[in-house]
Amino acid sequence: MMTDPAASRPGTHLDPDQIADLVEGLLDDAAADEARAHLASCPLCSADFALITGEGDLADLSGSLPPMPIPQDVVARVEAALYREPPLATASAAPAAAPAAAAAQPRHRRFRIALGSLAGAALVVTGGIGVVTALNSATGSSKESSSTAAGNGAAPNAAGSFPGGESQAGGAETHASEASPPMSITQQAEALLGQHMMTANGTAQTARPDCRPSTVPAGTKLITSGQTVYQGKPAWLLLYPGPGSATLVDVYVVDVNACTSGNPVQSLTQFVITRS
Amino acid sequence: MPPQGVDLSLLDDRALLARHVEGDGDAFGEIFRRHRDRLWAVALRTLGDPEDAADALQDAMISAYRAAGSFRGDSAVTTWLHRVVVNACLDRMRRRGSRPTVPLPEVETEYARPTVTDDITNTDLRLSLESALATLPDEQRVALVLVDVEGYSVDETARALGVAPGTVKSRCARARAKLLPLLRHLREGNPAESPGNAASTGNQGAAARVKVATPQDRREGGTAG
Repeated sequence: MMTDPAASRPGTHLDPDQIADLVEGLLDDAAADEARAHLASCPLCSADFALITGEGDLADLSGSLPPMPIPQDVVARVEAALYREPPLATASAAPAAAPAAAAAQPRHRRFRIALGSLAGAALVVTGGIGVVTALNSATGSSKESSSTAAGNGAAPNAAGSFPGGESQAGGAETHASEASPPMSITQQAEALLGQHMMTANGTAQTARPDCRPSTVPAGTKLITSGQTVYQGKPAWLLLYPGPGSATLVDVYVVDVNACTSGNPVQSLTQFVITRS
Repeated sequence: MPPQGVDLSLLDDRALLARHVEGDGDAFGEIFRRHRDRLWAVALRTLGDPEDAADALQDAMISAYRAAGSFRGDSAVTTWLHRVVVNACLDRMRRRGSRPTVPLPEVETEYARPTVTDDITNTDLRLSLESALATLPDEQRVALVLVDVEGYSVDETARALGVAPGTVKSRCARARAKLLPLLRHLREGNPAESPGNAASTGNQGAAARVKVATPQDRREGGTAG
């Protein structure tokens, strides 16, 4: 369409920036009037104007861009992050007869995640200090796990900040598995706990029976215990069988002074691990 | 737990999301597998940086994974996922707002010269559009991607960006003006369809060029908000 005489005279058409200025109201009154007058008489510029204002669906680009395959490293990253998330669980997913199971299941996986980093840290930073530091850093998720049942708000943060969980994952990279490839999370946990028990005073010690937290039913047999330091204070690490479970172990951390206070013992933190 | 042994690839998105909410550990992965290319495209086009886009996509998928129970089914699952990705991108843009931007060179590039041939293939045009998008200043690009690529309304986009609708219109107009030679090509049957016309209708010379954003443009984009 070269029939428009104006087209042969550069400068007589509106340039795209002028049109955008007009749309934005940046032209002064005289220039704006002139531009509008030109638009009214020039099919080329009014076509440009329509494109720039996006009249109708003229500016729709949804089908006009090339496909953009996601890079494999991004896929791997996102899938690893998703893998670390605990499965969603709702009331409907748990048998009504076993409400404890509903609470224990996400907690269980959550702790495995936190413990993964705990074990990883211990393997890297050998020695009691490293263990205690790692234990304290894992308490954010552990506290949440004791206060929320089927909720899953806090645990993923732990998963996100501790990339070393779930070493049995095929694709997910973990620091722990790099350090000790053949160990399962459970083995790592037990190795860690075993080492930890022994490092308190060089010998294993047993907590007094009155250290049992008030939330643990009376008569529950203590599996084992060990001394630790929690938030700068001496504490007992107490392992009790998970209620109604042969494989889950509830781990409680109790201030040593709480045992002798005569009051009901409150645990400082609590988490769940799997018995091998 | 939902029944096991179901071929997830046979289920539609809603069914997969429902299984995910019920505790199926694989359902969400299947949803991601289906839509990851398009979700990646949204993130990359919005942010313009692959590292940021990967971070935003990961954030978005985690938050969608966790919030799946709040999906009410008023929209398609894909629509919802796109929104989550866009929001993660906007979060990331706000956070990187303090990061100094690297000004693009004040030169005009050659990539969008439709006068090279009057038989530009559709593929070339798409690729040119993609690269032209990437040269827009952040504010203009985001507005254009949300409105013209993702199809959000001006009002929705304005709310998402926290600016006035007029500002979104301005940014889109400014961005489209920069892409104009390509847009003309895209709309066949347009009076400016042929390259010869594209060249002569602008007053910027014989070749229709897409002007690369300058620091000046970025400032203008900023004050327009």
